Amino acid sequence: MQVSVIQKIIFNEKAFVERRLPEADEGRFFVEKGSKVRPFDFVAEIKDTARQWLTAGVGGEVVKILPQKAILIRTSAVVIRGVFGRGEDSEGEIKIAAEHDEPLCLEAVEADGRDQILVGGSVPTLEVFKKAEAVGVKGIVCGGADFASLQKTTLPTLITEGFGRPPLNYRIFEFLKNVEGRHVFLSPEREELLVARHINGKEDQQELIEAESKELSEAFVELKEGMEVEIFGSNHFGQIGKVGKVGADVVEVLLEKGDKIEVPGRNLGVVK
Amino acid sequence: MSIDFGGVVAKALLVEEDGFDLVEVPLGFKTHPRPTIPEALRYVISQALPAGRQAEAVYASGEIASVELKEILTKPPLDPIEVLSKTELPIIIVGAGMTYVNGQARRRENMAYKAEEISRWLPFRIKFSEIQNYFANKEIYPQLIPTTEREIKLEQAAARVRIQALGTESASGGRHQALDEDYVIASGGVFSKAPSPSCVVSMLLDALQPKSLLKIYLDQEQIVPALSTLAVYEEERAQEIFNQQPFAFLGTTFSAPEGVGLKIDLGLSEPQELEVDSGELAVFPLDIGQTAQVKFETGGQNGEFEAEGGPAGLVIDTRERPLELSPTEGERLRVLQEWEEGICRYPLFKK
Repeated sequence: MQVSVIQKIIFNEKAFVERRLPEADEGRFFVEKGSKVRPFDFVAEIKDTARQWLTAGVGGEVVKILPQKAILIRTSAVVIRGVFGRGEDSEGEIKIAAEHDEPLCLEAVEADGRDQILVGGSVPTLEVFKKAEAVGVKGIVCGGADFASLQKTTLPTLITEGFGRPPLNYRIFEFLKNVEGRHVFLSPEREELLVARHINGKEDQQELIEAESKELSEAFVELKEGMEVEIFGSNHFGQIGKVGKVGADVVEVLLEKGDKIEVPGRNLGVVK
Repeated sequence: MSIDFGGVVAKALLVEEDGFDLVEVPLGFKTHPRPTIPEALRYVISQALPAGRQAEAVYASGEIASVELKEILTKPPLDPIEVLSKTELPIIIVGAGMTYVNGQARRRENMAYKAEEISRWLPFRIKFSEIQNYFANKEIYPQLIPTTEREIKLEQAAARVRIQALGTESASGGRHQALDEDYVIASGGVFSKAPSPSCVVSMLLDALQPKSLLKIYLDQEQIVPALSTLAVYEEERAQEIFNQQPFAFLGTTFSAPEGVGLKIDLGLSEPQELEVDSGELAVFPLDIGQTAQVKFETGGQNGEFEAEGGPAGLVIDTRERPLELSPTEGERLRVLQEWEEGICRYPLFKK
């Protein structure tokens, strides 16, 4: 049985980050095409009263300049792929607010959450989005949230599994936990979270993920016993398990907690 | 070989000298490394044509078939709606990519926005958020197969809403005229994977609300889209396959909103008499291969028709036209459960 391959964490050596001046700001960029920049380098002066300087945010090379508007920096980064995004591009500091399989509830949104991108299992109510917006949270990355809540919020949000209450994929969670505190870029429109490679900081775990996460060439693989799969749909949405017996249409899946269930092959994806 | 990229599962119709073969090839999830269109086509061909098997020509239609494929296809790809518009068969397709009702088509729409309408066709209480999340997830993972009775009911309710929407927009004046023929071919996963033939009949009667005789065929193998593509390029070969009757006959339905008196002559002894009051759904067990001459009296008028038997039997529908569901939830649930008991418990498919 051929089954789709799921790849949600990808290391991209040619990722691009746009640094944009606020709308109608008369600020100016200091850098030129070809300039090498580090994350905390100032790249532009901003006339905005609240801020004076724009930092590069990532290490890399300036490859394009739109005068008084934006620059494009080429960097190497880990890209987290989601399945649905809401809101405009945003950036902020990664903050683990709930475990991968726990709801991100009101209490998890703290008053000092300004400029943070919160990570958690799923967002259970619209009130969580409202509170996050009120305290100045810059975005949410989670396994899932209700379709209706996502229609009513403008908070930049990336869901990685689907609508409802699926948990956040534990590999994504482990990776984000490891880079907690890092400045990241959320692009709901592209359904991506970009974590630029750290130039001088801790890279051990990230390097491991990078080594494993080169983009795959195959979209389908033959399903075999022992493979790790994610379940989509029904009562086990978003759960990970190991393949047992492979039937003509139905596959036996052993869940992490020891349960054994049968799932149609089309409701599975092989996790890479 | 004719390929239909339905967006979820590509169906490759292999035409050979002595017959045909239909091969299903599932396509990938949204989050996967996304293959380019030519890559996807090559993948489908490699799956559909194992080593040693040859195809004279490859045609394609469907959601992801596009001009990009011109270089590697024998014939240029076609838009599925354009393809279907060339057929004159009374076809209803409820698929992942589009809904098609006898000449009218609409590309896939997110049913999460129609939660309220869908809920009205469900025989149980449900929160709108469950319906919204289910269909929003179908947008992301369109190939998911419903695995619980609740999910199957959700799919069937959505199918009713989709068909009704198109029937209502009919240029010829509403869903009652959407079908000019006395038969219909139902195609698409929601029909071919329905738990029983009666469920297919029930969906079609609710959505189309015919006013008299309707014979129902099921495209169990979902051959129609690929066959339609073939028909554009090779009409004769498509006709040959069509003549082999690749559809399953489910049964005959007769609608008489005012109630009806029937004399069903099976050619045995005395005709069997049946009275069905207005507002009911009833099944007369007319088996596969059986035919009956049926005389009827409804609203002061008499008539006669020949009923063919099938796994869904002879279904008598005396519900009002147009079919209005009660605005009171309790009453609506009671009626829906009653209709379901009246029709959907009829024999399961023999696998």
